[in-house]
Amino acid sequence: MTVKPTLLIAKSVLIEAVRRREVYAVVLVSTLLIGLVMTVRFFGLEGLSKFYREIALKVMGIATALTVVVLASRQLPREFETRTIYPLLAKPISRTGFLLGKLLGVLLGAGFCFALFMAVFLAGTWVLGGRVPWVLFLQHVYLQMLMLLVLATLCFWLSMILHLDAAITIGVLLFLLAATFTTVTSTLYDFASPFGRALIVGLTYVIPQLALFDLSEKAVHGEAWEPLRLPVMAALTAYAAVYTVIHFSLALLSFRRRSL
Amino acid sequence: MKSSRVLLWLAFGLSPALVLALSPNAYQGGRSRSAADRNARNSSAIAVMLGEFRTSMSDLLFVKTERYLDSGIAYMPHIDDHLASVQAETAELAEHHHDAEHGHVEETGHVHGPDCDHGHDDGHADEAPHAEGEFAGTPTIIRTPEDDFRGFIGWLHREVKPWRDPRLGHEHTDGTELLPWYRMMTMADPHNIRGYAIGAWWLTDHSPEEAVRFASEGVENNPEAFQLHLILGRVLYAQANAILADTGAGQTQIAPIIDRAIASFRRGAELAIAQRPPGGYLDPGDSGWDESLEEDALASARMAVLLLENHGDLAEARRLASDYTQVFGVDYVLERHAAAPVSPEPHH
Amino acid sequence: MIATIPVTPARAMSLIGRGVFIELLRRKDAYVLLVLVGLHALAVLTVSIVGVQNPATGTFLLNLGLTLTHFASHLLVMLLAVRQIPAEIDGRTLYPLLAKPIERRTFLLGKWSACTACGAGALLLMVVLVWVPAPKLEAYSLGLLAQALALQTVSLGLVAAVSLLLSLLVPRGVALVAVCLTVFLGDKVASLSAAQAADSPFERPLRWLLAYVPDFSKLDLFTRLTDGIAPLSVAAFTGLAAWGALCTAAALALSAHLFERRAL
Repeated sequence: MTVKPTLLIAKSVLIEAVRRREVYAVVLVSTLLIGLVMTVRFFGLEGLSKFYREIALKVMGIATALTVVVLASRQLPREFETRTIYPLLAKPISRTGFLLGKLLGVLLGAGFCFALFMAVFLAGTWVLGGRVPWVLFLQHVYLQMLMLLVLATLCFWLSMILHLDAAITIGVLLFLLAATFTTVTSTLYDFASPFGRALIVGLTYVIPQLALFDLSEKAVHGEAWEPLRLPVMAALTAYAAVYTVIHFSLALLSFRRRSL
Repeated sequence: MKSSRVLLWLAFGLSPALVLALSPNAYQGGRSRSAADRNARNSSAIAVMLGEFRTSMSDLLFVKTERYLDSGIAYMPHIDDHLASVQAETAELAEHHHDAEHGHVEETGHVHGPDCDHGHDDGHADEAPHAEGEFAGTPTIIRTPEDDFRGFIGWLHREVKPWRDPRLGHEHTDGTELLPWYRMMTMADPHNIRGYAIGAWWLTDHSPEEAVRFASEGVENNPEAFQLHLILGRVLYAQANAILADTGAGQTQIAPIIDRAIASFRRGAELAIAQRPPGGYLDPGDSGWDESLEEDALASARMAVLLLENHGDLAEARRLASDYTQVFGVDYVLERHAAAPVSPEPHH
Repeated sequence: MIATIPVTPARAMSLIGRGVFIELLRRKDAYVLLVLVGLHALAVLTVSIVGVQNPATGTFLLNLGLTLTHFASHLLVMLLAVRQIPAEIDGRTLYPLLAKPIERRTFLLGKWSACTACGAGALLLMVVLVWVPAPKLEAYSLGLLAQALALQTVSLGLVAAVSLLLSLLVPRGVALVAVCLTVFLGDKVASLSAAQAADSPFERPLRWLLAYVPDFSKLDLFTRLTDGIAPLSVAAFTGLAAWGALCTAAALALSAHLFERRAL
């Protein structure tokens, strides 16, 4: 597998992400929202930063995840629709390399989006005179990137087996309802029959628990919590890696089986 | 064709006059804003499952208040049913605030101050073999290790989210950071009476002037809400006390503020009496008058009497106490004042 | 010589409407609807397992269901309306349509009425799915329910008109983001913005100016319904319906103006 064509594909995805006006619209709208929150005068009290941190992190998270879901879900179906996949695969690149390039590009697009937001967030914090719990904040960004990796590969796979809009809808719902899903299964367990309990345990392991990558609550209440320990970060990385590999393999399998 | 187009744009140009006059969702009361209903639905398993995924501002504020006071830890709802009244809820929050200001001793013997900054890892769980401290034993929404069927995932969940062994007492934080939520809620829904009442109460410690302004805004937007007159009277009284303590001003300088506070309590009591069914909460009929409303109504009446008495108008205090006793029936505080002899000495 | 069959505006609109409806079922949005209905079934299952512990929780669930219905039906109309004209232009299917004796404004009106009808149908379906299994342990005014459904339909018509208008002005994705923001956050952003100018001479003019951006929250009576409040007076209801219709007409008139001047 040659690396250069994979990087070229990643670059083309990134350029597409950067050039798409939708990305800027999402970033602009989110920035305006964050800016509007910043301008509200909260009784003339100084240093009220938790509210700003919470809103900003939430808006950043949702906007980036929506961008990644749409970007990732569109990649493969559009190549088939516009028939641009034929000249691409005629080049010396395997399908694995092709898919890896797409994934790298989507992640770079997410990174670009996050970087734009980070600049806005940090500028806002600086203007408001609040403190940033740096380590927790950087851990949050890292975990969000892991979550986006899991989500992007899942969308690749869904877009190969479902209609594009269904893939986008499921991707968005999985992200938006991640925390609710975790609480619902945990609470339902006490009410369930033995069969129901077995089903809940199975679902807990089969469906990726995206809520585990959201450190925003600790980052918001940063003064009360210490950063995550290294073994926890390593475990979360391994958890993300397992789902990424599974989703990627499933996407690749569907991609290979698809007749051109 | 052209004239109809002109008419359309003319009508559209004037449309703000129509839409600004129409506010179908600007009504007072309603189940989503009722504190008793809010406490009932938030204690249900469904609400616990939904977490912060809410459609009602009042519910979201409820969840936020509990989480912010506990540094983000998601406990099962523990602001109880009896806290439906503004009077009781502010008293309860005052307890939290007191803990945050002065710290409290845990079973480990460690004294936590308001800015106590240390991590909460699994170590805590091992240190606490029995339940102690305020609210100790209130279960967390995230399961404890002994009760968690999720194994590895449960462990990660407890590490990533704010979590603390439920057998330990709660570590309360200052509620100041909640203030922006109250401001935003009342901006989005100017009829969120509780948002104004609790927000103004939180503000009192930091800026009594702002608290008075916020409560006054609430009264302006909801002139019939007697709880807001009660809270306005309370923050005015707090403002007067703050001036006395900070500047050493005399009674005469704070007299106008005290007069406003008394007027506010009296207005609150008048409105409450007008809205209260004759049988009170014991015989509410269709009025929806419950124990919490009775408690707030009584608080307005008592405060009006006490403040009048404290500031020298004993005859009026006695007359008012007598009037209120006839409405509310047996009430120790009011009856004591109604029966008190008129003394010429004001006692502060 | 090929004889031209005259197409009346009503027939043209019904043909265009049928096309939109078939597209809804065959192509994209039906999947979205299907996923949402599946989600609703899961929610009903969860509630049946856990049980409803008190009347307040029953009302809370009904409110949640109706609010999600409002959200989903509006999202569906946005997704549908925002791509109608760009898709016809991109797919070059607009030319044969307009080559027939169909006026551009008739084409636009056909698209708008079809999108609104699809949204209203989906709304009705979802309201039934929410209302029937919901435990109704407290009293709700049926008169207000009827008013709420009528104003939701007006709201869907307004969303369709605004989405068509924006799709003529900006790219599809940007239009979708803008409509989403206006519908779901518009009232909050407007009240926040107006609050910035509170107690200043600019407050009233700013509020007036902001009132030109449609406030969709005024057409949503679901929370009023579950709050147990009385129905609106006839004057208030008619006023709201008239305001919604006026904004819709203005958005459609502007869209027709832009569409007629657009070089294809």
